[in-house]
Amino acid sequence: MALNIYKYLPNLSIFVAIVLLVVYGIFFSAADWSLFQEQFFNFEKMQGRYHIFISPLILILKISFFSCFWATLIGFIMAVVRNFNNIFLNRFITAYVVLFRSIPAMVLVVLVYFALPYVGLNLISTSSVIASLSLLFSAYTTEIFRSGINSVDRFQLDAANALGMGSMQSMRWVILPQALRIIIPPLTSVLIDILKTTSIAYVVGVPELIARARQMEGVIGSVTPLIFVSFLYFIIILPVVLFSSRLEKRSRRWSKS
Amino acid sequence: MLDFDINEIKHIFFNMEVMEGQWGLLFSGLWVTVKIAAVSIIFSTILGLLVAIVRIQNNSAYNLLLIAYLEFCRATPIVVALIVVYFGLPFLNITFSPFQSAVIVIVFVHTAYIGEAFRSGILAINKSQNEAAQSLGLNQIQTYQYILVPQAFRIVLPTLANQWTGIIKDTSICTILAITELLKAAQIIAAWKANPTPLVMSTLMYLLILIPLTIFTMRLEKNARIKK
Repeated sequence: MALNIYKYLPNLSIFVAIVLLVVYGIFFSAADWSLFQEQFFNFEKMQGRYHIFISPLILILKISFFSCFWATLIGFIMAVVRNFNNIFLNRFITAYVVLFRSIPAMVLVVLVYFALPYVGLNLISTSSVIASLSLLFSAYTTEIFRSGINSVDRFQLDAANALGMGSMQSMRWVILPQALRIIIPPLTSVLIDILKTTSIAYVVGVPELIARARQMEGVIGSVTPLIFVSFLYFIIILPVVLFSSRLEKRSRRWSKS
Repeated sequence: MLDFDINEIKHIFFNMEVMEGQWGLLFSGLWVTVKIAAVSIIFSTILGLLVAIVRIQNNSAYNLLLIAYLEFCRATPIVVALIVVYFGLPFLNITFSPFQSAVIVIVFVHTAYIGEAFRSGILAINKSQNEAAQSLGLNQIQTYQYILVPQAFRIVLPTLANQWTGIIKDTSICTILAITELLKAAQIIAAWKANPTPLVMSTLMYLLILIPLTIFTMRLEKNARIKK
């Protein structure tokens, strides 16, 4: 959009400057900046304590891996079953998708961890997080797989039938390879969401990054561990984010051409 | 062992005796949740629109800043941001109430997403609309007010509804702060009565709000796909 920006630029600059000033005035004028470095980036106190973060880091990667695995598997199976066009199964799958798209992750995790033990289903905290994340995100992956499968032309299926392929064979050799191109970019954004959502495992007492950081914060009397942990999350997720936006850009180019 | 005796299940998960006299706390929690969600939705939508308008001006300095902001928000979990704002900033003598920090964090994160949605919405409008508006003698603010934003709103509505659902869902994360919103209220009652009924009830309340929104969003998405 080619707006005549240069005519308008001074006003825009003044506007942004005023917004920044207001934000600064509200939030940070009261801040004691002499404390900033001491409290937020005090890496001297952190020395020799970094190894504490290794096992929680592996734990959250494990949780994300298994949640991602199960969510993809469930989503794939649901999408394939949906393709059979059985009316009852379809109703069930739609209800499942609506239910798990609606329920907040935090609520589900709390429900699974604190409510299910009353009927004798004792999950340890890590597996309750994995279970709830898999259920939640399988709703999204179902939709993603379904739209991917639907995007393949119906004639391809007819052609596969004409070649004598069964429905499973045509799914494996004809539809999926083409659907995958559509499926993978949104699947990476689900991966990002899963990585971000693992942080709510903090609530059910999983010894993950934030829990460790808060413990250490109490020990050394500085917020540096928290800053360090948010930095860790950032450097884990950022590559996936960049990868995903590149894939999305590429797929947009495909769909245009 | 799992036993699926229906009376047993009813006694555990839908035990109305437990809830007697507790509905007040649960509904006050619901009110707090609704307040956080409403304030966050209003602010993040307005700010998102402003972010989108600034992004569209194609000024490289602002764009760089806003892209960095977007990527930062995409890569930071809300739990971490909440904890840094609520438990970290007091070390700098900046203290926010739980309600304020909840709103600040949710607005900060979701503004980025909503801004991106609005940007793609405005970019999807035909260029000739803008040129026509200018040839009619509308200035830039009028062009946005009467021509671009109303049309962008219609294009963006499915994404926007999705983000609003996301905001309402994210209010439940604020349970880690010292604020008695719906989930926290339910947890308090559940711990006191040693019965999960309040948790189930709060889940049902969330679902009562969110399922219509989700169905609405899915319908909008479907319509948008058909129009394409």
